[in-house]
Amino acid sequence: MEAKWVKVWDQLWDRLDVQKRQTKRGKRTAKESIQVYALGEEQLDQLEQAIRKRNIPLSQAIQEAIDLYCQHQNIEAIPKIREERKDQNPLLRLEGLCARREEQA
Amino acid sequence: MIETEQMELPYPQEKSVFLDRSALEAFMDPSHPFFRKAAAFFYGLDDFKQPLITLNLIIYELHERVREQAGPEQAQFFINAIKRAEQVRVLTIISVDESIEQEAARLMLEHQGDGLSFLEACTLIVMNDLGIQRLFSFSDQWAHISREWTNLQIVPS
Repeated sequence: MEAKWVKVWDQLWDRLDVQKRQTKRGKRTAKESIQVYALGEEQLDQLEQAIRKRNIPLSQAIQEAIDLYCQHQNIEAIPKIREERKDQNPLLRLEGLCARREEQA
Repeated sequence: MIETEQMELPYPQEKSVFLDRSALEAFMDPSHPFFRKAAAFFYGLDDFKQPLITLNLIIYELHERVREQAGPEQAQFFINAIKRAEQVRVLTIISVDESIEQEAARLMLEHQGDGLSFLEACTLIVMNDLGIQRLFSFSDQWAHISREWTNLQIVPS
């Protein structure tokens, strides 16, 4: 990894680490805690391209990347929550039942 | 399935919701004009504080409808989901017995002007017996009936 990207990575890591520590201070449950994932080479390249193209500060690019990531997490969480609700209330599994034959065909 | 004489609801009646056929019909059919409204209501329920009550006759009719509309496999899925909902106590199915039938017949005679169907009369009897006031329905007929039966609250409003 180039020296510049080591710096980007360190800054990103520090930011996530602060959030993680704040989470612990707030005594959140394991479910609510923020998970930390490493960015791959491809994602770092995309981050670099975004910084060059838009001429924005590194901190802003990192924040936007985090926001985007959290947004995706929320979108993915909705079906998961719905699935949990369906275990609690099996009637929810009947949603759209009468259209499923057409979908399967 | 439970008969009303034997039944004690393990939760406050005022929070219970009686499930009309039209509510499940809308929820199961994405092309139904009230599909989204039904889904919003079902997902908005607090499963353990707002239990649902319905009649065995309504389940039989819905099973037949699902079979006609979506086929036998989906009809079996429907029955399985209903049974499971009953097991986990988010749904209580009241069995219409002879005493409810007789009461319903009497009610239909007394309120001929309202044009009550047998199923609607059974619903009114059971709701009254169990002290349930809220009825989840999209039927215009129920909106009409609720003008006469002022305790009856049709949801979603």
